[in-house]
Amino acid sequence: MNGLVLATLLGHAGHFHHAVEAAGTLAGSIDWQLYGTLFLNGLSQASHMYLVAVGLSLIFGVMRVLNLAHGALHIAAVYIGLSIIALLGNWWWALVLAPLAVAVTGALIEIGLLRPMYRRPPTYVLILTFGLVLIIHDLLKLGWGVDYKILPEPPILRGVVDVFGIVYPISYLFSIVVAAALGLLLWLFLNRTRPGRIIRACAEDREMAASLGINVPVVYTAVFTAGAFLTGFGGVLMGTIMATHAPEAFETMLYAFAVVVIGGLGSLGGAALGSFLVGQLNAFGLLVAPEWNMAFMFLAMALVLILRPRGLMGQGGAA
Amino acid sequence: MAPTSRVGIALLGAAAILPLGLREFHVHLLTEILILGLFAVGFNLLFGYTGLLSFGQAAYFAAGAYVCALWLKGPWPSLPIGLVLGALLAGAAALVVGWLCVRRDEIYFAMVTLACAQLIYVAIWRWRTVTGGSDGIGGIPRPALDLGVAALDLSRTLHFYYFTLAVVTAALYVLWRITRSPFGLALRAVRDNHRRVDYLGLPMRRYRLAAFAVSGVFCGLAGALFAPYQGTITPAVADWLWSAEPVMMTLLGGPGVFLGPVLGAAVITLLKDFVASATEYWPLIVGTVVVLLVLFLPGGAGGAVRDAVARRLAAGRVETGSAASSRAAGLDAGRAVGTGAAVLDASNGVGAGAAVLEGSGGVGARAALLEAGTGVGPGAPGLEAGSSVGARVEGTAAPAPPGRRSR
Repeated sequence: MNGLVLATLLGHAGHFHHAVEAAGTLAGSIDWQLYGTLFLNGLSQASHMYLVAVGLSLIFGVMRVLNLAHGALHIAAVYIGLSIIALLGNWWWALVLAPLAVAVTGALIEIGLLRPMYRRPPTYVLILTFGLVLIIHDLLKLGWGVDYKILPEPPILRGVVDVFGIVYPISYLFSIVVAAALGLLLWLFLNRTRPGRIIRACAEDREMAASLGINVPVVYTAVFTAGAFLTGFGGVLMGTIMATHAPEAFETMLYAFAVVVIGGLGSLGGAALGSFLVGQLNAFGLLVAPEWNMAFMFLAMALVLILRPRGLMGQGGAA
Repeated sequence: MAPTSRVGIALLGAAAILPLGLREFHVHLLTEILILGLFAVGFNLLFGYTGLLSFGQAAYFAAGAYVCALWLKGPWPSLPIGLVLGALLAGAAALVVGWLCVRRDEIYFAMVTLACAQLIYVAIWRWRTVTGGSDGIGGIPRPALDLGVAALDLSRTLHFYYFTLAVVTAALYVLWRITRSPFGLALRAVRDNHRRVDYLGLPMRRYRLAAFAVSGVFCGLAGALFAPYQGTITPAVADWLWSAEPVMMTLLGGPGVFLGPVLGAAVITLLKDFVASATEYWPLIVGTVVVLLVLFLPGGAGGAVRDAVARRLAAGRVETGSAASSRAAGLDAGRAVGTGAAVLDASNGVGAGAAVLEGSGGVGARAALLEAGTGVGPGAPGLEAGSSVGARVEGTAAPAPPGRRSR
């Protein structure tokens, strides 16, 4: 009962359900098994948060747009994935097609709604994306209802493995590994390839990039689309592990925002570090004061804002 | 200025007479419009006048509502005391949260206010013994009010309406005076060019903090009225969706017009009453309206009306000053940085105004003087005089104190 209240309150039902269970069943056993499990829980939460946060951060870093609808796109991927599985009967199709569908939605949003807004004050763009949250949220409700939904995991990801004496579900480990791999690929892409350099040039100085012949609007669309794809990908991974419903759209975005503020808005490494820290804070916070989990995270964010306003890995630049 | 006050008096007259011909339910609705209108105008002190978008004003609304509800359920139920307590405690909460928030602006500010509001929301949920958790507080009484000459039976809808009208009118008048005061003009200067204000040695951050606290007080007052109005109060009034209400009302009514948000509140409340009975997908409609407004009518309906009036008045007259014309065009009611910079610079001789307002507007006595330009474009009546705040540093101007952060 208590868990349910907590879950609905904090929005991140699945996170906490799972972690509470894990903490509860292991409470009597050896300490390091408990801590190890909590650590892995923290990592798996971090992997989901990272995939949302990195897109949010990338879009902000390049376009100076904070996309409040980012969490809504994340949840949208879960529902779309659900329908794809119902249609094609295969989880792997959902993992590929649902993020693509979300990416297309993102591209349409960028071209149709954000592009006319580039010369306008940032607060108005923020309000626009806020309107989008309301719209997407209600469309999801309209299409799939408000019940908690979970994606059926593929057979290969079912079951548990033994990680240094800790029995842990494969699907959780899978999402940790995949998120880490995607993060690495993204870093390589941005730092080692020509398109990556072009994106960084646009982030650095939009006018200069434009005058060098870079088609900035196309870059913006690409970045927004990529961010939407990543959050959608994270959505399918998360939706497989825990039940989600549409009202979490906004909370997800808030979490991701806290993550990028702690790490440094606009920094890839910051998104990773922020996800790691918030994930661990959530996991271990359960031991201290389970009911005030969210408060911990926002207090951490407040602390970072006071002591290091640009975030732990932020390098100036960001307004 | 004069036309605006005339509009205000006419509206007040209409609000006083209107309920006499209405059914009780509609009087009830009218009361809600007044309360939410105050909420939105309180929000707009930050958004339209100071250039800060807060996504967390529901927190102060809720603070006011819960404090007032608890007071009314206590041993000495008195609505005026409940209102004052609610407003003041909400203001205090805003002061604490604001201290953190005013460090950043624009997107960061909006998000940090939102995060802090979520914290307060969680606190209300968890602090079950006091707030009743998810059940909220029910059975909030509306004790009779003894005015000496006569007693107001506030449990009656009509009496409560007039009480609310009086409180909201007084609050709006105070807010109106604030926007016209040296302090209010300084807030507009912060909105138009906060760096310049910083360079002039004015305590920019303290102005922002003061605006945040004052906004908190009035949002809290609106909440304190809302608790007895509804009779029950739940955590829904601290929700982020509730924070979105004043944003939407202000956008609809027009952030550049003082009473614009009240117009927005009226439209939204009536529409909600109409639509909510037909569909549960109210946010979908709101979201669509918000997106369309931002894209096509950022000055809101109030701004459009005002601009149309201003254009008619200005027709045949030669518009001087780019500031006035771009304002009249209703572009970027929120933050016209370029324009603001031009106007702020009195040395370019645009409109060295006559009236000199001391910067000692309560917060910080600085040598920098803010002038209200009366010379140029804003001569078009109906335009807000303060849209051309000229700032000039006097000969004796003290340099900005060292250590002041000037980003």
